[in-house]
Amino acid sequence: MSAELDPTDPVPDPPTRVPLSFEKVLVAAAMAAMALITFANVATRYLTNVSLAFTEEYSVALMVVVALLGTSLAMAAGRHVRIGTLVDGLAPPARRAAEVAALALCVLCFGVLAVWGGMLAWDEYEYEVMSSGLGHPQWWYTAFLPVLSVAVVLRALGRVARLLRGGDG
Amino acid sequence: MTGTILFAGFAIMLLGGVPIAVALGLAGTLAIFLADQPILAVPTNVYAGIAKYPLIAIPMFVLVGSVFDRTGVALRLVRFATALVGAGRGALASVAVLVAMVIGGISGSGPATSAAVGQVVTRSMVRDGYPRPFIASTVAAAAATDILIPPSIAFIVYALLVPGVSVPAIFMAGMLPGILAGLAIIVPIVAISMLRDFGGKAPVGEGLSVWQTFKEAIWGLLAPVVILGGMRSGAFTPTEAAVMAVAYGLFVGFVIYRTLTLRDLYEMLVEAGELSAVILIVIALASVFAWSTSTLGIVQPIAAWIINLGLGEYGTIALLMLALIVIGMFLDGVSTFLILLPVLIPIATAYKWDLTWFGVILTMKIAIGQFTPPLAVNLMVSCRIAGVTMESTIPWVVWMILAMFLALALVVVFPDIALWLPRVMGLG
Amino acid sequence: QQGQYRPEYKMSVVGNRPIPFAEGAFIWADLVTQRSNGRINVKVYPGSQLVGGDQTRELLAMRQGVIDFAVLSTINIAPQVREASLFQLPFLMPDHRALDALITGEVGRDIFGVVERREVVPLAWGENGFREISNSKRPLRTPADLRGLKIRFAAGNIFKDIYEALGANPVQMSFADLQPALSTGAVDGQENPINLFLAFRMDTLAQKHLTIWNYVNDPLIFALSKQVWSSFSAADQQLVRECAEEAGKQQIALTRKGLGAPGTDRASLEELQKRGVEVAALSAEEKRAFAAATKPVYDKWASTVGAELVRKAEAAVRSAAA
Ligand code: NA
Ligand code: NA
Repeated sequence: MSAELDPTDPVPDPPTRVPLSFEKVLVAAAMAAMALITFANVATRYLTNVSLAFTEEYSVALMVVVALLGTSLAMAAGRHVRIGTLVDGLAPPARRAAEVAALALCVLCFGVLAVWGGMLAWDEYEYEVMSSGLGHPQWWYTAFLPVLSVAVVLRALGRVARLLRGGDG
Repeated sequence: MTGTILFAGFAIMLLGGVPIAVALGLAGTLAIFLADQPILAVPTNVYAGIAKYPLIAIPMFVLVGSVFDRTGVALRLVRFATALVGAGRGALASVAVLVAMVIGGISGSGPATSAAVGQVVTRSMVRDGYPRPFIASTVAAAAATDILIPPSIAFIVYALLVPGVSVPAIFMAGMLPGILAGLAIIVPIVAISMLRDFGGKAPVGEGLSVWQTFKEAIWGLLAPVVILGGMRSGAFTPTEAAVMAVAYGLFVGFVIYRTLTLRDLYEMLVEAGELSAVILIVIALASVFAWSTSTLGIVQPIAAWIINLGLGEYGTIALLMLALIVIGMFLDGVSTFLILLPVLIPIATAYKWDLTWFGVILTMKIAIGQFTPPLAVNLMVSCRIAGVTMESTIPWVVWMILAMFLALALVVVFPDIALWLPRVMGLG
Repeated sequence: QQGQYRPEYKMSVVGNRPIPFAEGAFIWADLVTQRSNGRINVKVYPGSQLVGGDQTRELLAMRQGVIDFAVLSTINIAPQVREASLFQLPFLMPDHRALDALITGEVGRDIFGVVERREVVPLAWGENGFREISNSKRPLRTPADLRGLKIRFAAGNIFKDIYEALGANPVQMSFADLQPALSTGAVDGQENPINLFLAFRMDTLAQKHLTIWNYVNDPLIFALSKQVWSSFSAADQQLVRECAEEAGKQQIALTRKGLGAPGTDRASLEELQKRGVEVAALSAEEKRAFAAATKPVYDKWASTVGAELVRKAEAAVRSAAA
């Protein structure tokens, strides 16, 4: 299997304790906001003399939110792009063990982002870094990185728990 | 030593089924740690790696794909093309290719087009007398033109990584090679259909009137015009063009076809958000990998080594294509670009190749990889829809691979096939 | 930890050769590496690649140890060091003499002092150049000519205020987006030093009209992180400083080359003409009209920068003109 998404084979949502609608509603809202901001930019540019170009900063921040919340969603369901050729052919217990190991690495990766991302946001707060477009405190935006990385870690752990209980993840 | 650990760690995680994004990020982080570099480079580059305005085009073009998928444009395009082309040997197969090319002008990824077209044409092609493995091959090869015909997510990522290459310029540069690739695969498709008597078994057109089907299909046919026309006229940036296409698609879906509901809208936003996230997180974490290969000084020696092999221009291109064939078996287009471009661009610069043209030929190779067994994502999708194994397609798909390779060779030898359009459009 | 030298020190700079801005970084890195006999091995990472291309992150990254050396633009550090906005006050500096008076005098020392409190050691000044405005629509000679034009700016709210005061439509955009935005007409104009205009062949991106109005200049700061600085021996600190000063001088000379400044030729201006760019060099009177139109912005931002510093700067500029 090549590492790209197969739209005809959507892995169904797993039975999670915290409903996935949490991420879904926020992702949908962020996507809609990005589209609306861009649309409003075009509309005001051609119809009025007002400039909304400064809102680009919000669009970019929303995209970071979409990237991490969507990652969280895909983590819970095991829908990330990966090479399954070797692993998926294994017997179920071995396959499960391999997936638990892979998830442990996911926890490590996003754990690093949560801890050091938090330090980055803290540095920006302490250093009074302002955003380049609107002059807001930059940590308002950067803080999404550690906070939402924690969400990804929790979704990975939830999947590990479901696998260890003998489920499909 | 750290360099070896970086690549070995990445390869092991990749083959062990770890998500590509995590394999890239962790291997990079490990190398940064071992080389005694500051770990804060990791979050800084992850954040800065995705917090870029040009990247907003990716979620927006993914959303365009989701919207048009649900409005039922593919079905109406097939009905119109069928009414136009009529029945006969090879007719419906050619229709599938033409429709995939139009959908390619709306969507930005191959597998999505493979699914959209496969779901619409497979049943009628079976009725028309085409063998299922041949159908799967046709759909997969046709959908591969998608990442060449603008919009294309692979092109957006390429333009972002390569200074001096702009999204509008490479979009236009992909247009003629994409059309050429589509026409190239029609040749073996029609030839095989003639020789083996495929198609022409179903009743002629089933009473489809050209005018009636055209009135329905025109809305889909206009979508690429909205996207490219808006960008060309200077009305929109690529991101804005995508959002205008979303607005247009929603208008068609809600008002004209009345195929969409508010529930659909919510689901499209979630689906496009997650699909984009899966791409964006690879880009974000690949920036950590790139940071460590760059600061470890691995990239330049590899590029210098290849240049010093003395293979000449065409020899080097052949070598790069060979490497891409192997790597393309494991990785998708975007990941391939993220990992390999730091090495490939210095080589292209050393030979003074036009970087826009270079992006087009690399993408053509990746497109071919999408339907080259055994690891071929488009083919996997179309085989599942047609209900056949990938092995069964080999006798047919090899001819289409060959045809697209010839198209690629033409673009290599005549770079103007790619560069003429952006030049006359003043996109440098 | 003094005396503990690392095998490589990383230097960050925006853009790449042959822009004089980036050239300054390469000159400094080469000087330090050569004169220290490789003891201090400095490698340049152009295009702000160490911070994912986001040039405004350079200063913080220096404190975090992600970047060791940098040639920083005062525009890019302004979001973190508000005093650096001084140089963006519209029409503060009429010419190079005024700039020199600021960076070589008390104002320059004051700003170095502020930067130093950010745990970054500033060593020498450079110059990105006066930023001149170009556009695809019409010659700009009066503030009214700017009305309704979409103008891209790099970073900093002050630029948004300036262009809104002139009735234009300012668009903040990273440099990477600028080329496609110009070629597709998504923006009408931009402002950058002339040498950058030429290097990026903006005349081929429909930028047919260029106005030399010297509204702001963007001085550069040659700096390194405090942590790295204190790890060097006193002799090496002196070496690094001298190299920075020398590189700064060479860099400034490169920036001013060809612009008709005293002691240089007019090669760049002639090149503009050769490429068919219509150049409008504003008279002092024409500049005053623009200065008057942007006076409210100047006053608003003068208080952000600090009244005391602005007063010192104005005095220095006056005495330079005398
Ligand atoms: Na496409
Ligand atoms: Na680019």
